[in-house]
Amino acid sequence: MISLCPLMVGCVEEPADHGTQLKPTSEPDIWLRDDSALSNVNVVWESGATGEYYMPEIIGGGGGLFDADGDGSLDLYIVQGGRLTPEGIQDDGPPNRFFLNNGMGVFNEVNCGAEDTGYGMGVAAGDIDNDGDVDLYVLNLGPNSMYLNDGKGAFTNVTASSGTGDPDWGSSGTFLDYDRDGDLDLYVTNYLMWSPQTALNCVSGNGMPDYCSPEHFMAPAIDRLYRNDGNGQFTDVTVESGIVTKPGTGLGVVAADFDQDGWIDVFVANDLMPDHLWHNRGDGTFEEIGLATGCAMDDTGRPKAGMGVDANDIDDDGDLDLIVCNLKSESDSLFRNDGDYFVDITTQSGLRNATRAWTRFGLGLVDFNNDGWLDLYEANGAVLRPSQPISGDPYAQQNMLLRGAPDIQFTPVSPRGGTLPLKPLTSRAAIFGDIDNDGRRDVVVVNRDGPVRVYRNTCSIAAQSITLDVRNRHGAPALGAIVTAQLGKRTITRPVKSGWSYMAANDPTVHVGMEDESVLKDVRVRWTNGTVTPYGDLKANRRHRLTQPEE
Amino acid sequence: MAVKIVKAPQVFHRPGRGILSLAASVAALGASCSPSPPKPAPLPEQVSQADPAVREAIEEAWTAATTSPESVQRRLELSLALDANGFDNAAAQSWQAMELLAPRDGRAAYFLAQLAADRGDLEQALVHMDRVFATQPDFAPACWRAGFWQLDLGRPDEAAALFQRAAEIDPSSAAAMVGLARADLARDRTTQAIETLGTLLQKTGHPYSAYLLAQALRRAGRLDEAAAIQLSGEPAVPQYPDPWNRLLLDAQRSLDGELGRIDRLLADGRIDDARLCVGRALTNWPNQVHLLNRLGEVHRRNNDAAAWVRTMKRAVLEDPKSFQSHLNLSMAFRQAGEHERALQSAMKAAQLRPDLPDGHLQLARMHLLEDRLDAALPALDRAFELGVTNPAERLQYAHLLLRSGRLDDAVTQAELVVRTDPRQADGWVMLALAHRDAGRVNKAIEAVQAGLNAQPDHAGLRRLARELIAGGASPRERES
Repeated sequence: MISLCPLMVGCVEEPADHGTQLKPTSEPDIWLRDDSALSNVNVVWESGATGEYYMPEIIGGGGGLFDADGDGSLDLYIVQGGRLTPEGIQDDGPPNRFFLNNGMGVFNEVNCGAEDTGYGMGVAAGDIDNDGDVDLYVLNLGPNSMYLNDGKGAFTNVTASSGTGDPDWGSSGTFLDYDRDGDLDLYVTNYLMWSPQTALNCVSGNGMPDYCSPEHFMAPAIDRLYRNDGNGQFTDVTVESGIVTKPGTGLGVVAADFDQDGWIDVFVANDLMPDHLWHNRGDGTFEEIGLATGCAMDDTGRPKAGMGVDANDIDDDGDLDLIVCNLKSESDSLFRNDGDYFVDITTQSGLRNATRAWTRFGLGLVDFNNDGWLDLYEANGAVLRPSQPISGDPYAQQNMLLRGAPDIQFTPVSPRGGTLPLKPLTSRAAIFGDIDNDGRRDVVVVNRDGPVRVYRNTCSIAAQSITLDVRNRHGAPALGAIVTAQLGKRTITRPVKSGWSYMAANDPTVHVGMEDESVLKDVRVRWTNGTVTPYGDLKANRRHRLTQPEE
Repeated sequence: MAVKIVKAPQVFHRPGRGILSLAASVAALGASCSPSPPKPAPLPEQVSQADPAVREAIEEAWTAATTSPESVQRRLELSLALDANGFDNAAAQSWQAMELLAPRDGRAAYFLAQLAADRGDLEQALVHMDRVFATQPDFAPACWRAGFWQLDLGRPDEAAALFQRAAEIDPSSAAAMVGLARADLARDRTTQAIETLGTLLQKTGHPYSAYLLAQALRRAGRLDEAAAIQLSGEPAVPQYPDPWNRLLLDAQRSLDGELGRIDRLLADGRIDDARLCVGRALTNWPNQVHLLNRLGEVHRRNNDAAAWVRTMKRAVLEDPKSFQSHLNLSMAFRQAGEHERALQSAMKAAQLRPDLPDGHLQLARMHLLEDRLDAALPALDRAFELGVTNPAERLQYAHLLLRSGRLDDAVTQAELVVRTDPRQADGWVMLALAHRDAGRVNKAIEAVQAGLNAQPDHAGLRRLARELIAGGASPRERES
């Protein structure tokens, strides 16, 4: 017998019925349609490149999809680049941009108070003051910024009072409750110790001026861990936590409980250095176990140019697996979590050969076609100039989409990227979320010196899906919680997360493609404090809000 | 050692486009009745925009190959120049022309295979490699390279055959053994992989084989053994000797290419060759600071402190803002026994890049040489804030903090040492001493116990345990 959502504690079935909003697709192989113009998003991430080949110009930028005004639809925040001169980083760069969603995936730009003018890289989103709305952390080349949301999408800069203005080159960040005290702490990934004054003149293989490799600088940076003190202030615990012991060239980050000990760990993708897996010891300290558990490098033993990263349960065994994307000629690395260690299954999954021809940045394991299997999207763009460029932008590349199938198999979708051939761009962040509330995941891609593209999911409406809006007891997205459920004969596990991909804050709701299943059974949420709440069976084609019960 | 003649590996593919087009070209060549081979194709326009050193090298090779179109050596040099310096399409064309000219020379097909692999087309790469097997069956790198591609394509059985073949040709090939182990792991033959890697580790001590062996042991459920091996350190990037590929690397003519060549020579211990290489590069890039720093390294390895100082002074003069040059000058002065000058140079380096730990570390070292602990500690504080990974440096830092009475800081640093490597007995000693001096005897005893669990026979820990049991010793007693 099916017990439906309204009977369960803390579960609200929201009125939106995905089925009534879906539109049929005209081309079965076109998974994503470029709807940038219709979506009214008209913004270019400006690198400020002037021919000096300053490294940050080729690294950014990012953005976030999150519900800023609490109306149930995802709003869009895009960081902006800036201007670099030999004298330094100029603070008169173009401001970051904010777009409110009208609920149908059409955006209107508004001033929100978070028009940061630093040289922007990425963004993290989470409720730092437990007032139920999502606050923002902007990662810059130079001091980062923290913005507090008033619940209506108006932000106040609280960087100074919160003590989170890390001055280094921030790339990606993520909120996490690492000490399980009920408020969100902050992990900041830093890339390099760099400034225009320390820039180097680098050349491509044929001696043409080009961007440097991080190896040229020999200056990896220390990431930062900020503990939320619960009073609006954060304490930098980088030293006492042990994070200080391993500098890196961090670009991507994802926080999740990889060893299922109830404490959130942190995985950092490093550029041309072994990746780091910071194991949370539960006493406020972390130890780096990437090499010891086999996820710092793949079987070739070569540190790759780690960029985007995601964590999800791809083999239905209840723990979270990892994927990291890398540079051209290096494949992705797909690590299956086997409990005590990770196994590199890149080759078996079909990703070894399918991905190596491009340089990939933003990525996500997302079920686009709602068949119940996680697909893979990757946003591509080179960092090194080819000797014989094929287009005006020598770094431009097509993005790619791979269809996921049982037994962890990925096959490239044709046309590449799952969209009609478009002029390739130099893509960086890929931000994932359901922008039109139709039960299908869409993608926003940030491009270097190119227009932000909004890709609307046009996969068949025949397949069912469910959206689980998992909230903590304060009403904010319950980052770090884990959802388990029965999908047909499978037991699936999905984390509640926002900070993953590359320089991105993503839709924190849990989306499950259900193919022809009409009910997701035995839904349970394990909260970050270790308690588990059962929600019973939930109907497909609905958005369900699952709220953490009061203790 | 006698050369063993063996048959080509039994892994072949149906002729693909590459071999068909080659066959067609050979036929066309034969039918043309023209006794002299065609001249090289015109160079791509982008060559004229390349760095002068690259352009000159390519143009020189092109002129030579055009003058002697029948010369395989000239065609090889042109192909290498194009390939090594990033002109992939032109290189592919040139390699194809060379293959027509010298169909029994496997090098053209070998590099065509690598170009295809770089494009992500491993199937085509294997087709090219089949021609290498046919012409030069005893070239081990062709076998293991193709083996790794087969692994990437998810065909571990085919890969294993190729690695086996490479091992037969060159029993000392680490690539072949690593490949065999990886093929075994891919086929869930974990026991065999452990055996192979254990042998390799014993033979070579290569840290990468330790890394892979630890992975295999974990898969076999032997977690403690894996952890013990993992503590042997961070793995070095595996390098597999390949004389043909070395030709390609050595044909790079950009500054980066030259620096890479010098670094390879230094890594091989070929100091005189490295010196010659630097000298030649300095004619193209006079007084280039990266080259001067490499020249300094040559002098350092020759224990010629005076020449090292002279060279680094030249580098600093050339680019007074070069952090690396000031840092190396400081080290050179130190080797030459000029401590005060070494200190000044370290200060300059730390001023130039206050955001990097190395300058502060060097500054601290120079202060410590003169026993100026008060001056050394702030520099060390800054260095460790910025991130120092070396546990030995951290241990020394903890010791100095202890000496200066900053006991809580000493505890923090000692804890970081033992957390990184619990076998680090001196770290446990330091932790225990810091706790004891802070009056936390129980904590000190806990640290000693933990240390003895990891290193039961460590004399320092045993002595300290006895002292603590006897009531502990005062800092004054410890100092004495």
